Amino acid sequence: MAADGESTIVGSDSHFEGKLSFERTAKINGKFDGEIRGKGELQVSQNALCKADVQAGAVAVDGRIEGNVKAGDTVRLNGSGVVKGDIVAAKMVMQEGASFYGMCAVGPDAGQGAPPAPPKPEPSKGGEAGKK
Amino acid sequence: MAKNKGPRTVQCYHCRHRFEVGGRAQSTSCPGCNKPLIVEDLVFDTKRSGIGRIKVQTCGTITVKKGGRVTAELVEAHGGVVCLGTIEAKKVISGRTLVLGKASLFYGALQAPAVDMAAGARVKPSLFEVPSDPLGLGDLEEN
Repeated sequence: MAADGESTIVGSDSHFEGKLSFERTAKINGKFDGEIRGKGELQVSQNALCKADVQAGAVAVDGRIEGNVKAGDTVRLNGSGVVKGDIVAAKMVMQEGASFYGMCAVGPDAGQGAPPAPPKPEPSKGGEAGKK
Repeated sequence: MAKNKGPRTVQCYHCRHRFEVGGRAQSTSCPGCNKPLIVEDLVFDTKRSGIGRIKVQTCGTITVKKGGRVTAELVEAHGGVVCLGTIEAKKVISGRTLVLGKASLFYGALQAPAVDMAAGARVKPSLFEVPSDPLGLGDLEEN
């Protein structure tokens, strides 16, 4: 694992087994076995394999997750994403081409019990000032 | 003026027999099993328009507009399902991409080759099998 800014990254040549907790952003590029819990966003990259139960504020899937996913805010299942397991989330975006086998519950009430939505990034002062 | 549409291939939702129908056909009988078939596109745009039907089936598309509601045991559309309102069914089979709009509510065991779900769509606990090709329509050319 390596730190990149404020992200936790499991590299593409890495195989991690165990429990992962994170606060802001975590990115799985390699293989992960175990359990993931976080308040922020979990990103599963295109060639990544994640055999884990995931509980996070938001989840973006381009790779493969085998396990249950619970998100306080949004699960984004992109075109190359695969999820085998149940998804519970407040919001879900699923693109054409994505694969999903499992139970699905989506709505404001469905995600209760999951971590709260990740904090939104503060607007850049320069950009906002420019607009005003 | 009606569009000039050529013949298209449809698949019977009773016996899965494939045959050609005229482009403007709304219903026909299957030459394989002689049962009646709806081949037109169905649109549900009011709250009561699709309620009380045991099966809502067509070889065309099903569109549930905003404010529309379909409640049935089975919803099957070989041309695909577009849901901007509410679909509540035991089973939903879409031959092409299922589109769930941002204000849609969906409930039912789903079999579809793909799903295009917008943020804000709500799904009551349902089993999703995506992609799946229960009709074997994968090799049927686009009409």
